[in-house]
Amino acid sequence: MPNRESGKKRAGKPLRVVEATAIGGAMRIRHISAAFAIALLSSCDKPAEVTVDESRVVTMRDAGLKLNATSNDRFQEPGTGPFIAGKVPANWLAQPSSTFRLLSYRFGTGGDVAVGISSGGLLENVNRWLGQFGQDPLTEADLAKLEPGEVVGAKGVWVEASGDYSPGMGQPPRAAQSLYGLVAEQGGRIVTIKMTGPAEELAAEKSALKVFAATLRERAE
Amino acid sequence: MSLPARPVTCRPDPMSSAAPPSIPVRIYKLLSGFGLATTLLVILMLLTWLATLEQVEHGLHMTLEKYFHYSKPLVFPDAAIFIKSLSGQDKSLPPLPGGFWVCALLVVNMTLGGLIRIRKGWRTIGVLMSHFAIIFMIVAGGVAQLKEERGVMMLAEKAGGGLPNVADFAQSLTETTIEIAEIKDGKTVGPVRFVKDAYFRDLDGDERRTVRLPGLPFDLELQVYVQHARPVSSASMAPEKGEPVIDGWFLYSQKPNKESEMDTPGVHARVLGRDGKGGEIFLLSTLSRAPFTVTADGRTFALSLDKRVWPVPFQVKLVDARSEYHPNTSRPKLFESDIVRIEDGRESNVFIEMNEPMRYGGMTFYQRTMMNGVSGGDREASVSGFEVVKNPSDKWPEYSIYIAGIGLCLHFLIKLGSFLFRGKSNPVPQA
Repeated sequence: MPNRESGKKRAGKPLRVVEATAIGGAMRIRHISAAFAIALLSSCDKPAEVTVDESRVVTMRDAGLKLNATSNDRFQEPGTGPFIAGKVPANWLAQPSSTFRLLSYRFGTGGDVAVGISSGGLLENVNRWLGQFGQDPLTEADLAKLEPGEVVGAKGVWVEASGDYSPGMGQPPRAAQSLYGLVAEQGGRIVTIKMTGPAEELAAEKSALKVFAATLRERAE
Repeated sequence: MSLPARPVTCRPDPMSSAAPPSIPVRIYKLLSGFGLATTLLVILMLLTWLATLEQVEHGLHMTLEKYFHYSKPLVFPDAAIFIKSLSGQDKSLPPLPGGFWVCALLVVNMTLGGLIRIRKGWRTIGVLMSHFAIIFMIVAGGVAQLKEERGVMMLAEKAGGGLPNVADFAQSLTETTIEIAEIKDGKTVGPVRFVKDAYFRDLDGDERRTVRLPGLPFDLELQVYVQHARPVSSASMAPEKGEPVIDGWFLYSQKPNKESEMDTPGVHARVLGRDGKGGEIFLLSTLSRAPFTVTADGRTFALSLDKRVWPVPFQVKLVDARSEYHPNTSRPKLFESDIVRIEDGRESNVFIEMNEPMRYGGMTFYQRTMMNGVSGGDREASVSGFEVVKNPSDKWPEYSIYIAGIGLCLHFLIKLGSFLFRGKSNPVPQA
């Protein structure tokens, strides 16, 4: 299987390299020449132009290449969920998604982040969250005083709570927990980003959650 | 016991009146001398020690490249390995010679001093063998660095998830290439052209380089190389460092990993037509899920940035992968694979396990990794990774150890025999 390579550097004196590399077959390598080329490239002035004539045989990897792909086709993460995460902090560990947790992460000793789509209204969802911390429900007037927020074009409010957390769904109550999350509504659809966890750990992640919300996008974009 | 006193004479030393040795003789003596050997061994010891310390901070691959690659005649150790407060400040200790070239000089020194200049006879045959074995081992290391081709072949028991069940290629762990494949009637035709990252990984900031591609109807202009990049949509996140946005996407620069095989490079590219006109800039990333399509002179090409592809002259099919771990740990106890080697239609069943690689056709397939295995004892791995190595000096270190072992045994036996013989013929006088 013939493979060939040649490189020519055109900065100062021209340099010609002929090399052939591959695993298997009658393949030749002239590494000393390549070493000179690479050493010169790395140690001398950077050339503005090089000539490269290297090739390898076709393999099974070269089959079925998708042509004319758009940038979105080429770079968009695969998946079937409606949301694509933007900037995810390095200390968040992605978890498998589910019907209620379209995106899911864990951090620290008990921190939890979930992105979901809910039903009902804005106030109803905010009060459901507050109820999990044993807090009194808000009125529409109270809701208007909360910090406004936005995710994937949906407008809503940031919600904070702390205390003993009763997540429900058969899970045991947890003491000294906090909540920070966004409930947003657009066209009758409620989008929620909910972060819960030990109060100290959660406080350190609040700014990261805002960045996460700002960079979240819908797959259709 | 004291040495007999040397008689003092007033006669001139006959050697002192002789002409001084010629320059070639001096060079020969210098190159074959103990002094040089000692110096080189001390430098090697220093390099090894410093590299061991530095790899903690910069990762194994980067450190080995820095200290022992042939393209590095000088090594500037990172000062931060001793003074932690200098971490990230790019401060260096005084330079040392590069490990590759120190070893090369050691080979010259040992060949001249340990093989040619040494006194030869049956008493020194063991030492000669050992010297030869050491030279052989160092040469094996040099040949490996110059000639070795190393990649990884990942196979799944059932094709899917981006992994094939059968493959005829491996991919480099660290080296990246821009691949240019011509597509005709939906199929890749002819050889696949590639541009190694050695030709563009030095492009910082706005630096750009034209890559001439003889035989193709276009050239490439490359710029903004990022060692560890992630394509990010500008719709989800604004560029933080003024990264150029191309078609709604930009290369988000991340801190390179200590394990450089984890890095995902990216680069900006532009097609230059033979008429001198340039096309639009586009992004190339190893995280891309499809190539960039170029049409020029009526021909269609797929351009992609990928870990270098090493063709393998036969196909390998994974039949079964089994893994077992030490209880309650992720430490592998057993990794083994049943594969089928397919060559010219002929199929051969082969069993590969840890420390029992498949050697065939000048290549060695080592069992490298397993995926989807359940920690704790079950043998449920479904993906098997093989490290594919083509190295003409693969077995040389083993042979050199045999030769050195035999040589040293021989030398010790000769010494023992000599001691015993001398003990009988020259008994120590009793007081």
